[in-house]
Parts: sequence; C-alpha cells; structure tokens
Amino acid sequence: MSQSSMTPEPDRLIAKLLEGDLPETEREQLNRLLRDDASLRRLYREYMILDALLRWEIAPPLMRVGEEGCGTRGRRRGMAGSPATDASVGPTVEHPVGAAVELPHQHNVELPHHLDLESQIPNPPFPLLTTTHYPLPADFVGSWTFACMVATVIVGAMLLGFWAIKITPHQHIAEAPSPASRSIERPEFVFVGRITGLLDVKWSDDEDFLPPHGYAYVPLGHKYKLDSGLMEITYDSGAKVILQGPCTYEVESTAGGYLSLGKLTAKVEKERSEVRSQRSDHYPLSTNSNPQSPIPNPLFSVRTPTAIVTDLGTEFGVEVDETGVTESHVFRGSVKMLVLDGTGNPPSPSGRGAGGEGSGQVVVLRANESARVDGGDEPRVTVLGPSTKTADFIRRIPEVTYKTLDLVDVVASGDGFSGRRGRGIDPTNGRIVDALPALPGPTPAVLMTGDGQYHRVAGMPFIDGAFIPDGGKDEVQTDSAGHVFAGFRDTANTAALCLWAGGAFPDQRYPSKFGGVDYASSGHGLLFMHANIAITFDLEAIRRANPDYRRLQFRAVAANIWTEYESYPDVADVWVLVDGRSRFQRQRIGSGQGIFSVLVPIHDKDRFLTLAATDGGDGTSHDWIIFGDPRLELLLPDADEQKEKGGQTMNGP
Amino acid sequence: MDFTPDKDVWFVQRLADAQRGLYAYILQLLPNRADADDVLQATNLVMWSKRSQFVAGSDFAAWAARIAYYEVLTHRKRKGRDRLRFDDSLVEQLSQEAAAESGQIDAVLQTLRLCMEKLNQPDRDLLQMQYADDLRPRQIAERLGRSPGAISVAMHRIRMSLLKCIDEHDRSVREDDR
Repeated sequence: MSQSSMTPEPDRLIAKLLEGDLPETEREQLNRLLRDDASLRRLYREYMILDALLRWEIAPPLMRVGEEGCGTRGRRRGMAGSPATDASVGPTVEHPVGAAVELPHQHNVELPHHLDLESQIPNPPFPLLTTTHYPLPADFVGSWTFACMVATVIVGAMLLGFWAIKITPHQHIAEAPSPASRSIERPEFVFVGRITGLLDVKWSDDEDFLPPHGYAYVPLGHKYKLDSGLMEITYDSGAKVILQGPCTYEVESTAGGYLSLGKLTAKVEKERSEVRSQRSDHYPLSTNSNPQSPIPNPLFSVRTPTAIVTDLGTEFGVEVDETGVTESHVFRGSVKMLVLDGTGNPPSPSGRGAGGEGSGQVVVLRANESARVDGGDEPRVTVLGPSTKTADFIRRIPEVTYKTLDLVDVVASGDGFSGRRGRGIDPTNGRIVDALPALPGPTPAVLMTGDGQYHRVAGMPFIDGAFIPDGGKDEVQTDSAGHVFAGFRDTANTAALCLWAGGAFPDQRYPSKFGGVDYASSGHGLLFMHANIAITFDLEAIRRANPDYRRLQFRAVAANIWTEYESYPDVADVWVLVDGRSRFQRQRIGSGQGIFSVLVPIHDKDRFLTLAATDGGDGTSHDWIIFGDPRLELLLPDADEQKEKGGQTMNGP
Repeated sequence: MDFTPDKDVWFVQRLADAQRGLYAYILQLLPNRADADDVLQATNLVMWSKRSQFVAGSDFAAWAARIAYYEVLTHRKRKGRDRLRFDDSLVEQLSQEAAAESGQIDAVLQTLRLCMEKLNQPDRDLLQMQYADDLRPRQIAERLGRSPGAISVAMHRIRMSLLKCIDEHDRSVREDDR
C-alpha cells in the first residue's frame, strides 16, 4: 500500500466523506477528482481499506444475517493497550464457541425465488480476480467472532431455509413480502404447528419481520405481522387460530401465543391436528410452554398486554387495541380471562389481586358472553354481557375457488383450458406461426427489426396483440387501447425469434426443465420469449368468457435459460405490465441465475396484461427468456359455487 | 456444489474467510459504514443462498466480490440519488481497481497491526472511541472536551500516519527482498 502524494485538500475530502460530513458540492468535486486522478483513487482506496481493517480489527462488523446476531453492535472488542469501554446499547446474545447451533440438516433446500437480492447476481464462478481466498489467522478462527459469524450465518440461513421450504404446492393469495427481511434468532427450532389458511394477506413491511413462505411450518417464537387479510395457524394440539389483519401475534408456546395487537379467533379441537408439524424434531416439547412465556399452564391460552384468555373447551375471539385494552368474546364453551398486572405478569397467588372469580382479576366467560380488560395501574376485568362484536370476528377463512387459465394454451390458439401447444406469434406483424425455425446460436445471424408499431393478433380473442418493445423510444404502445409504457430500458429494437408456446422446446440444446419441473411435460407449458418481444392479453375478453370468475391474478415462473456458458455477462429484463403500467419487473437477468416467481394481482378494472422480455440494454445475445406455466388464476370467492363448477380451493391442507 | 453438511461447513469457512476483504471491497464502492454493513449482510445472504452454485476449486473471493458488486449496485439503486456518493462510472472504475488488488488485504492487515503498536496512547484512545465505541467525532469531542473539528482532524492524522507507516514498512520489505 503506497501512500500517494496528494495535496491536503483531496485527502480531507476523503476523510469528510468517510465521516459522512461531505456536502453535496464537495462530493461532486471529489467525484470529479477521483475520476480523473488515478493517484487520488489509490489514496481513496487505501483510506477506505484502512478504515475497514481498523473497524474489523477493533470492532468487527459481524455477519448480521439475523437482526439480533450474537455479538450485536453493542459488543465491542478493545484495542490492545486501551481500556475497553462498554458501549452496549442493549442486551447481547453470546454464543460461546461450540454453542448449540446446528448445521442445517436439510439437503436440497429450495430457497425463496422471490428474494430481490438474487435478481441481479451472476452465477459463479466469474473469474475477475486472480487471488484465492484470504488466509485466516489462527487466532481469528478460534475467536468468539469467528464462532459467532459462523453461527449467525448458519442460523440465519436455517431461518431462511425453513421458511422457504415448500411443504406442499398449495396456492395462496398474498402480497409479495418485503425483500429486506430479517429474522429472529433462536438456537434451535421447535415447530408447533402449520399455517393452514391464507387469504388476501398483506404482510407487514417491518424490517424485523420475516414473512412465512406459503403454508409453512410454524416455529416456536415466530412473530406474525399482518397488515391485512386472514391467516390460520393449526397447532399440533389441534387448536386453530385465525389472525385478522392488522394483527401482531407471536407463537410463544405450543399451546398459545401473544397477541399484542389486532384480532384473532381461536378454536380448540379435542382431536390432535392431522397437519402436525412433522418437521419438529422436538415433539416432546410440545406439551410444554416456552419458558419465556408467563402463560402458566398447558391449556390453550392467548396472552395480551393486559390479560390472559385461557381456553376451557371453546371457541372464542380476542381483540387488543393499540392501548392494550383487551376484549374477549366467547362463541362456544367457556374461557377464563385473567388480568395481568402492570408488568405483564399474572397476579401473585399471595399478592394483591389473587383470588377467584369476583375478585375483579379473573372471570370465567361462557357462550355469548364478553369481557374487557382495560390497562392502567389497577387493571380489572369488566364483564360486558352479551357481545355485540361477535360478527367482527372471522371464525372460518372463506374458501376461495379458482381455476387456472393456461396462457400457453391461449397463445397456441386454445381457450386456456384445452392444453394446446406448439404455435407462436410473429411480433413484427401479429401473425400466427405454426413452426419455429431451428434455433440459431447464441447470437442469431438474422434478427427481426421492430417497426415501432403495436400489432393486433387476429383470430385469438384472448390475445390483443404483440410487438417488439423499442426501449429507445420515449413511449411504447402496449395494447390496442393506446396505453403506453415509457419504462423499458434502451433496447436494440430487434427480436431473434417469434414468441413460441411450448410444450416441447423447439431445440434440444436448451433445457425446458427448471427448478425440478420440466415445463415441456404434460400439465406444464412455457412461453419462449427471446428478447425483444412482448405479448398483450385481453383481460376483459377473458372475463367475458368466464363470467363467474371475477378476480384474477397472473402467476408464472421466469428465467433466462441460456446455460451454455454459465454467468455469461449478457442480461435481459422481464416485465409484466397492466394497461401500460409496470406491475412486475426483474432486470439484469443473467444466464444460469435460476428461476424466479412472478405473481401479479389483477384488479377488476384492469384491461390488458402485457408480458415482455427486453435485452437489458446490451443486445439480444443470450437473452433466452421463458415464462414457465404462465397462468391466469381466476378466483371465485364463493365456496358453494365452487362445488358446482368443480374448481379447486385455495385454502391450506 | 451439492448440499451436504461437510460442504456447508467448508462453505461457511470460505464465507468467514472472505468477510474482511469483502467489507473492505464494499466500503471502497460505498463509503458509508452503515451502508457497507447492510450490503455485506445482503451479500452474505445471497452467497449462502447460492452456495450450491459455487464450483469447488474456482475462485471464491472473485465470486464473492462479484456478488458484492451487484449488491452495491442494488443498494445504490434502492437508496436513491440522495445517498449516492459517486456516479456509476466511478463506482465501476473503483470496482475494477479494488478487485485487482483485493488479494493484498491480509498483508496490509499484518502490517497495520505492527503500525498500530507504534501509536501513542491518546491516538489509541481515539481509535478506540471511534471504532470500538462507535462514537461520532461530535460525541468524542464532547467526551474529551474538544471541538468536533479537532477530533476529525486528529482522526484523519492518525489514519494518514498509519498509511504512511504501512507504506514505509512495505518499502523496507521490498528492499530487503532485493
């Protein structure tokens, strides 16, 4: 590391930048200087490396996979010769070397496809550097830092993995979770039940919340935060809880949980659940409460900031408002409602407030009765008599009927249900093609050039048109109603091949199998859309043909299937537009990056759905985009009609 | 690379090995410690999630750096222009130069440790407060009864003296090699 000969001014700029004190004007000045002066860049990099190493030496930034990784920011290591000062900002969790942190047992864990983090990452290896891995000092290997880093990354990965495991391919309607999610760290996992129902769930965007993935197992200690929608948990004991968003609920024992906000309905079955969380390796624990939980007995209980509602064989609702006021309503059977003191603990058996019913601290409610516990210094339970709020509680997640309209079949001239394959559309004129020429090499010698026009497709009522997206234009027309989209990145305005609806992929050199699914096999399909190409479906026509199914959503997987050279630097973009507006986009999709999921809710007034593949601004080479199993799910939220039409339900197992 | 416990252990070791260099690499592209922390975290997650795709025997550090680079770009995009330190072309330039020299990180660290031993106690205390206690210059100034500007100048002086020490040590080693 050689020190560059610099005037004082630029190096002070670097120092101010590092301290976060560099004004905008000086930042621009530094940007210019760095861009033009190699020696200053060298000093800058040396300065940053020094800062990184100092930080790492004196207070290593740990691999914070979970929010509260061991050795949090408050845990600092002192310099030799310096008195270590305690700058703790909160309790720390210490993992001694060799602590009870297990390696992931599961093999072939399927990781979430929806993580945006993965969207722009090339696959390894991509040899930019000439170095090998950095040798590790022995003292570092043996240090708590190393242990914590290893433990934290494993635990974090386990958390991700467990929540990402697809248990069964059940469908559900949920908004995509926030990509910037963190998790709660626990040394071991105890699964106490399963998620068995989801309906219109929108998960909280809180950074400390990691949404579950579909009908996942429910680990002890996990907190669920719903902004809206319904979620049903079935405990191994058979108890069912329906959370009504907005709601925050933590599974703090095998027989209950902590409702800090919102509304839930609990139903305690006498039989054990058939959806027992079979992943639990610690089933015997399921008879015990979490030691951290103040819930004193194994009866099913819901704790709130001000009360504990304990099942005595019943179905009941609990509601907690933002001030902690708790109301409970009994639908069937009876519950015991116990007031918690100001510290959130049950009253001491020998202390004030102890005693049975009538003490103002505990009450047994029976069917159609309700009671409220207000907060304050001396909280008491007030019996309200017959409840007027029972209708506000959801006691069963409505079954939603859906059927899937296969867009591959539609492109192949079907009605969405006939399973047709093997036709395509020429994006330069909207004509149907019955055969796709043998695929050329990675860079086709002859390219179709777009004319900047949107082309209607005749004879296919569900298809409005097709076109070559020209990102060089300010606006690109995306449907026959004249909607335009201005967000395409600059493209070459060419296409390599026609859009193709398979079935068997036209060229055996390229795979049709992704993520363990062969999209050329029976029951599956793919739309092959080599950039630049787009197709627009007529949602209104689809609704007219399926008048009973009003709510729609688009679901598919997508990938860049060019795999001859892994991590080839060329990239492509995928877009899902509705009426000229982007509802989904994934940019810079390199080859071999695997598949990702696409789920786009369609609203009642949405008219056109456009799927587009563009070249990512670097030409059309290696931009082999496919949509796997592109389907419109047509929803009918009426269970009775569903039975008549033979649809499927979308609730859990 | 298939998932097996042994290979996971191997992978975690490589991941741990790469942390320091990755952090330095990220900080060069994203000169903000908190942002660098976040990107390092995101990079670790992606590396772990993509561990099955890493080809044993290939260059782990290069793979990690490439992922980190994309995470930096993602972070810059997510944070928006107000948080951007440099323009895209400069970041790309810095990335190439940083990647080419990333193999020197451990050698620099060894020298840095020697140089830190030479610091006087007041300078050590300042480093301690800045890096171990995570105090801003203003907070250090309050603690020591000095002005924030004086603390910033002092910190800069310490860093420059360390850089000079490292440089001189490297020169002497090179001369000894001759």
